[in-house]
Amino acid sequence: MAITIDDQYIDSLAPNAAAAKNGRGLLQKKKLVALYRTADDTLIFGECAGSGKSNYQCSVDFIQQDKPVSRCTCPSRQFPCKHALAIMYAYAAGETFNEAPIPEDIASKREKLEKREEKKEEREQSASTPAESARKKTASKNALKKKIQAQLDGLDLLEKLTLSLVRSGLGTADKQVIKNINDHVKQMGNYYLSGAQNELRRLSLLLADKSDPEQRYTAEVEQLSRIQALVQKGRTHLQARLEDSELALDTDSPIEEWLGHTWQLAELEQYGLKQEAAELVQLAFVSYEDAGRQEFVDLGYWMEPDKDTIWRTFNYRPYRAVKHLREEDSYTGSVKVNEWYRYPGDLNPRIRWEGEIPSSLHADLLARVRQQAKGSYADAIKTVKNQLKNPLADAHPAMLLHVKSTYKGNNGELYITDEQDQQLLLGNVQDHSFPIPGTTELLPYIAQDGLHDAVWLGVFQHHVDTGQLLFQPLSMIGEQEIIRLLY
Amino acid sequence: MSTALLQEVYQETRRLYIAGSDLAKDDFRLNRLLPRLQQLGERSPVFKRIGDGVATLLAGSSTSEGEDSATQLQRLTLLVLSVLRTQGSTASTSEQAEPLSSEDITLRTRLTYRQLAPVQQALTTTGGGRYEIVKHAWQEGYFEDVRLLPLAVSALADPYSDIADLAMNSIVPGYGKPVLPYLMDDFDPQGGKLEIRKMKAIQAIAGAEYADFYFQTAETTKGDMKATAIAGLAGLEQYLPHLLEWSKDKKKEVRAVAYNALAQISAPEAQEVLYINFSDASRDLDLVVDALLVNMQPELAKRLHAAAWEALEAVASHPPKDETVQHYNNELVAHFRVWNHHDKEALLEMYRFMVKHPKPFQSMMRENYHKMTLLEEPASALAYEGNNDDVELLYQLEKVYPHYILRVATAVYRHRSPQEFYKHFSQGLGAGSHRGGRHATPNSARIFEWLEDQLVKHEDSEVELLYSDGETHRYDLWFHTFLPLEEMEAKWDPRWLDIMLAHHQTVLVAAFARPGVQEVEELLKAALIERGDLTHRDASLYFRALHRLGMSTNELRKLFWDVMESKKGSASNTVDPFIMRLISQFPAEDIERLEQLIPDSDEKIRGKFRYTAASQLRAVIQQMKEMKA
Repeated sequence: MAITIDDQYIDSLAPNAAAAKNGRGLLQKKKLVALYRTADDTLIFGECAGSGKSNYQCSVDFIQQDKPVSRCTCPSRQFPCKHALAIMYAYAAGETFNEAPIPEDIASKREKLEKREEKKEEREQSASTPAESARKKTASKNALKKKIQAQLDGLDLLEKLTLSLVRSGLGTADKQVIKNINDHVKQMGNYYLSGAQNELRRLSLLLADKSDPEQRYTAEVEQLSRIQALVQKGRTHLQARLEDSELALDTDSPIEEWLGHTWQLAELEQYGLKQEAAELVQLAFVSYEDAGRQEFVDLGYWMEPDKDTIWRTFNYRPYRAVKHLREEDSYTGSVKVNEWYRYPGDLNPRIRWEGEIPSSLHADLLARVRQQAKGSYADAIKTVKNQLKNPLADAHPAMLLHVKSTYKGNNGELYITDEQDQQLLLGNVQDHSFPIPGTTELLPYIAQDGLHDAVWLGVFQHHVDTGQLLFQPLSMIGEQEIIRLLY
Repeated sequence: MSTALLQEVYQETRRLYIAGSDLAKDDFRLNRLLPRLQQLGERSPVFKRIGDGVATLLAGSSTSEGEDSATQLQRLTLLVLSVLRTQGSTASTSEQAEPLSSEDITLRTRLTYRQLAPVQQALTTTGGGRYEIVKHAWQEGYFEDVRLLPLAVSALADPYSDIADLAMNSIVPGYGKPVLPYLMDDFDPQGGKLEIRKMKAIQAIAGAEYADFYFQTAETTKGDMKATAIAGLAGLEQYLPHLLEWSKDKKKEVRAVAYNALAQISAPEAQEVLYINFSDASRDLDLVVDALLVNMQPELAKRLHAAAWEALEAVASHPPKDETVQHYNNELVAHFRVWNHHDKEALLEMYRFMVKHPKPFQSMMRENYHKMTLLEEPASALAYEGNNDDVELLYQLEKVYPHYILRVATAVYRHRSPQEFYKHFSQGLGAGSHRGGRHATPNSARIFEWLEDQLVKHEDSEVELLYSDGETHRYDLWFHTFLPLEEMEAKWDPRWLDIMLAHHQTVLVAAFARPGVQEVEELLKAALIERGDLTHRDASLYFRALHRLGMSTNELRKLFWDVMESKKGSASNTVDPFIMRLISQFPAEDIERLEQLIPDSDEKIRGKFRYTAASQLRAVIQQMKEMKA
């Protein structure tokens, strides 16, 4: 089995842009002094000159094709390190790799890995004996009840705080008030309510913001309203769970995540959310800072050809750990995944997978994606509004729309039309918790075939002050390529 | 659904959020909306619920569930906002619209997030290192990605001028015509620096095609913007009357670009303005010269050439007095600049005339140059760029003005034999003496200094350093050396050595030294012992000369230790790599002695190698130890 890797795939493996650049640099500076591959082409390895006296011994193991493992004798804590990346770039560039037997240490590492996998499987099987799992369940049930009760207490605390703020008025929110809210943000950490904690932090950040007060007040009112909804819905949901003998998690709506539940893949599997093998195409990507969550977020929009759901992948990088986590890159190919998981969600559920095999994007795939575009804006808008009326739902649902034509009105605004000449205004998202770059200003520079009889992926935004529902284009799915207005 | 009424309710609740829900009781403005809500409520359950919510809030009393105004306001707003979100309008409000059309765009979006994001960040923030990122992006062709276009245009206003210049001169013009509407759309002629840069970028892309736009802008603006706009009209004869007018503008920058534009127009009126300003040596003479440096029409060149000779001859025949001095001075200097740029040979001809008739020109002082006469430049130019015949002219000049001796030296060295050079310049030096009075004539000091410049060169060399913590480093060191021996023999008369000995010019003795002259070795050794250290460049030059004379390593070693162990002298910060190479050839028994030359941290040992020199010596000692082992 030959490994098929291209530069873009290698870029996507790199932990950050600098590592990719340095890896390429090593190749250009001819620092790779020996390149080998095994006869079955599952392992590439070699030596790379470093600053020290001896060369680094470096290898990339493709025995599990969707989860390449890199190893290197260099002291870097990044995986893959620049040396491993350099070896992969060299392989992709068609450099000569001499055939060689697999090094002993790697053979033994492969063995260990295999054993570990076996053990894991055994453990999974043994864990599923009914008696044992029942015992575990009762023990955890009591703990879970306590946890839910704590969450309810937390919601009470949150409600008390926000109501006192509403009573005295946003106009009176001074440093002291903000400090009090920040203290509560910390306290919320004790109630297993990280979702609610984030919403309260967003409110605090809005109050502390010194920019245009009019816009800020609108955002603050919306945020207070959102917290109110969270308190109401959360309370109803938690009480219902307490009454449920199984104390089961809700998978019909994202309520668990809104409150702060972090889904484990095993849980998702347990609730039947594991998906069959599929090919996925990334349509758009963005990386932004979410100060409310105190995290950087790498967000990808994906589709399966022939299916109309737009999925989202989220890679959260907490401020504290940002140096050690891989920042994702946009990806213009497609990927094949063997098993993947969907999270409970609304229009654009979150998905996740662990290993992937890169594949190239071709016209046929694009045509199949294009076919999924919604032709009627009336229907699309109805679906979107149905989501937006829930204040807790994602405020920027993504849709794939067919664009018959793009217009510029004499008031300067841009809009698109569908086959029935229904109009949809265009505008950039303006949201503190979803700070993405603007794209509508790029439209005059897009070739005609992207503006008329085209397929666009975009996100919606409702502006409460103007009463407008706007659409921000993110990507244009062309017949040959995707024009990415965002990333 | 009455969205307008819902909006009103929302606005009133928003106001209450700001003021505080405690003030909601009997709120006059909210109350005003109640009848309409109740009326609609009869038909629509949603409006009924909203109407009830408003009524409860207005009543100002706690409900049976103990909910106070804050809860009531929260509940009401939650409902109103939810309903409003289902009412968002997606239709355009314009009466007219046209399909969005793009120019001939070939821009695509090929960059990945990781490539794009750093450039976007560099162009939207401030801080160090941004220029390198932007420049790299431009070199890599990243700006062909349409997503960088708006940022490229806004980079014209970047506070860091290198980035703004790169955008103006390269990045934005690189987009070509498709970017013009983007630049023109929000162009504000009354604006500041950004708009001026936009104008320059537009001119770089559109050229004469947008001349009328430049003209309109020039007509309606002042100062820098006007000047920038006029620059776009250079060479366009249809704007001649306006350019002539602008050449009389009150603002200097406007006149400057007007002259520049006129210089590119061959029409007689344009050329006449330039000629008059030049020959009158008007206040704008420098501006006109600047314009002519860029562009000079052949007809005007002929006229100015004649004028130059007329002026030269006038000065030579009737040396100017009083107010005319300034006039001729300015005019001649202007000619020097013009002809230096356009016709070097014509200029040298003028210079030869001046050197042949030196007196009037020597008496004219150049403006803005400290004590420099009008004759300095001609003498210098003939020395460095003249031919063999010009040597005679300079000999003649030296007779009248001996201080031009170095110009003569340069010319003679370039064109004549070493023997002629020796004959001419050794004469004026006087006999020399061993005691005092080292410079027998005023010019001898000048000549000795000039000779040193010719014979002692400096060089860069990478040296190895070993720090006291054991780290090794490489470092570029700057030191002095002599011309190679073969070059000395080919270019210099050997008799100079005797002159230098007679005049006690030790460095020059070292430079001219050749084997077999006993006196030299003694003089240099004595000079070294006298110094007692290696701090001055002369010390290492003496060592180099002694080596050149064939002194053995062992003799040099003895001399080195005599110098080091002399009570005189001080510590060196750096040492010539030549000396270090010499030391490395010392026997291993010297190692301990060498170590004593490095001062220790508490300065108990007062060695003569400190700082970098100490690190140099450590590296050499280590090398010697390795050799020994």
